[in-house]
Amino acid sequence: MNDRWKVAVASLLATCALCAGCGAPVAEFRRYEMYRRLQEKSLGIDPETKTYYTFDAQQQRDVDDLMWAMFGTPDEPSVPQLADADVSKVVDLNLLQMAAGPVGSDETGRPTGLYREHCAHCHGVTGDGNGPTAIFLNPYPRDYRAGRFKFKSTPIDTRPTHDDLKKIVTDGIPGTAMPSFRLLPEQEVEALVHYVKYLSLRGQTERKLYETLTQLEAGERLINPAAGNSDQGQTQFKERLGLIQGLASEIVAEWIGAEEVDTHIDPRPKLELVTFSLPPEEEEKSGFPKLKEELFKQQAVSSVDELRSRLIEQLDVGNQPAEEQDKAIAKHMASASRQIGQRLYYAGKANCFSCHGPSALGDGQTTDYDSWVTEFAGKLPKRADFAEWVALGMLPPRNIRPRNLRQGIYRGGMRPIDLYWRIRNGIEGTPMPGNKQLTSEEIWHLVNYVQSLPYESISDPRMAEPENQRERM
Amino acid sequence: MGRFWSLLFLMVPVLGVGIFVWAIAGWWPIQNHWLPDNINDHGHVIDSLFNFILYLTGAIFIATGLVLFWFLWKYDAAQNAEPVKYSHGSHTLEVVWSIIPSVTLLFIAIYQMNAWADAKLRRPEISRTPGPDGKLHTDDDVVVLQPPLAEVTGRQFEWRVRYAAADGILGTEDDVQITNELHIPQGEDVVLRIKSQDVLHSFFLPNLRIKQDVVPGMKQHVWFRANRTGVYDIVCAELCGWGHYKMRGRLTVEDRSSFNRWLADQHTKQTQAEFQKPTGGEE
Repeated sequence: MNDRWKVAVASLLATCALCAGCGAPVAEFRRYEMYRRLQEKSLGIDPETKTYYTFDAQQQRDVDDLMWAMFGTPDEPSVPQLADADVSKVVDLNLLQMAAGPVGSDETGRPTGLYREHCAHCHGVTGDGNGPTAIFLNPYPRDYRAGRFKFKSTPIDTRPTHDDLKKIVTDGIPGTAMPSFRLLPEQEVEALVHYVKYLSLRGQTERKLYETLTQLEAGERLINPAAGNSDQGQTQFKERLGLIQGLASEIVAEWIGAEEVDTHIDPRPKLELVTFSLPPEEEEKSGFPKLKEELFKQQAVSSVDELRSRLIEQLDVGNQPAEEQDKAIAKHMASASRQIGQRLYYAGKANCFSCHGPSALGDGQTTDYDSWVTEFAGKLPKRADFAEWVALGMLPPRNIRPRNLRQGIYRGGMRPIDLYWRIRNGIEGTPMPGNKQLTSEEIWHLVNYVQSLPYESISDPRMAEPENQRERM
Repeated sequence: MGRFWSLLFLMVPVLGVGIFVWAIAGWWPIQNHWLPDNINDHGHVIDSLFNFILYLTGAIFIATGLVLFWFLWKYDAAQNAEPVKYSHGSHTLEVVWSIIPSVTLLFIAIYQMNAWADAKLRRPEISRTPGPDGKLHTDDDVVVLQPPLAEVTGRQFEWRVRYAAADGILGTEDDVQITNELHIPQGEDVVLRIKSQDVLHSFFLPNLRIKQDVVPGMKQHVWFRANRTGVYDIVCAELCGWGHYKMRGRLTVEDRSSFNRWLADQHTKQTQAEFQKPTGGEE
């Protein structure tokens, strides 16, 4: 055999070896180091060593083992069977397996590894919002482990509903790097939502375990399966197991409870004079009593009929068909509604301008941080406080900015009900508070005002964008 | 072994032509790798231009490959004892092989001008009336261009579509906004405005033979007339980041009435102003 042939064969073999040799490492969940440190710090300074207490290696191993026993691995996820709460109501194990594992498909052709295909590069295998591409994004991807989600129909300190998470996956979050997964088949979206809930349950449980560690004596084991030899050890083991299952049950119960939270929104009253003639008992719920009062006062009238004729006169539509008159009146009412919204924006019960700024550009305050930062670094953190947490896996914190309301980009969705929920419930983890004092009517006036902001002439960026024009042939 | 290299280089034209023939014929395992179905009235112009250039360059490719093979075969060192001869080339030959490609390129440049103008410059018009000179089809005609049906904004990594909707004007409150879903009416001239929110993308509708680079800061327009209903792909044809491969959208061509119904339906969903939990009870 000639040399050339030898070289050709050798390089072919080398290519084969290269292709076959490099497999991906087995995916593993990352420890919640930040939360461990937070709990250790909560114990204060050890007077002997003059440093913070630390959990010992055995205690950390117990946490790792428990997490593995309850939730499995990224390739083989599981959920704990709990006596007090039905986990299957929150997480469907069958769908979970579609989302888990490496990207591929099983014998029946069903896809697997959807989470790693679509989500993990930003949100991380552990759901800690710290995947390989996370650092490049602004805002950063969500860390699911605290169980806190921003855009949902439920109030602060409750979990989101299944449909809330599904909406985010389907529609994406405009104004952020979260894309829409609208084109994925329904079942795959479902699988992803279940997996997100699974990662969230897992993270929340891990937090609880570290919290439990703070209540133990130094060096005491969290759970000791080898204690079965003595009766006392057995009882203690069972007791501890019960305690831990109880903690997990509480977390699961919160998720189940979220589905029961009353999130209904009464229909936004129509901007028609008919809504002013509702019987008093319905008026509060489906009318605009405040708007009515305002218009009555403005026009110095005391009945709807009077108001109508006064408005027709004022708007100069007397000689037009009734339909046109109604349109003109609706327009006038809309503008009055926006004015009420505007007053709420600048003062009183809503006071939006203090954060969103006097011109609604989102520049009222720009120095706050969200709770994924303040939970660790403190309410008013300084730059120097971050290094410790960044070393443990926090992404270098950025300020949280109030929304610029003139762009018409709404992260949690642009439907009026989305804006209603944002104003009523606030946005969890951010300085945007929920507002229980506003009446439903007032919120609708605010929504009307906010929805009009992007269309005011000063919001229009069209003049600044040159159109690509060329001489026509 | 003496003629190993000449045979190896002969494989280039043989395999090159083979793959194309295989793909055009659609044999296993590369079915559906040739041009996708054309559903644009103007698409055949693009296709025939493509085919013309393919056959022209194909013929030159085969000829070059064969000549290369012939020289390698004939002057193989093992078979030729004669010493190498050096020459300073042939002036005539060089003139000929410079002029032929120049003329060919010039021909293509002129031949495609109408196709280019139709695709990129002659946006559909709603009306055209004579200007001050009183004559039609002169530079001072008063032309009303067809407004865009929708604005497509490329973004890492999705297509955001904003329909002008009922009032026909983009940027107003009644616009319908949706991601990755482009619906268009069949059999009508459709104009789309294309924008980018971040980096370079390329808006590619393979079945409509439409491809337009999306440049940040520029508004560009594409137009077409789809002649067949169905569901087709929207893809990004410019490497725009790590998620480029997943920047897909869905184009639905449907008749005017279902298009209107779909748009009205989306508008209703978007303006949902009451909420009641679905009362299906426990499953």
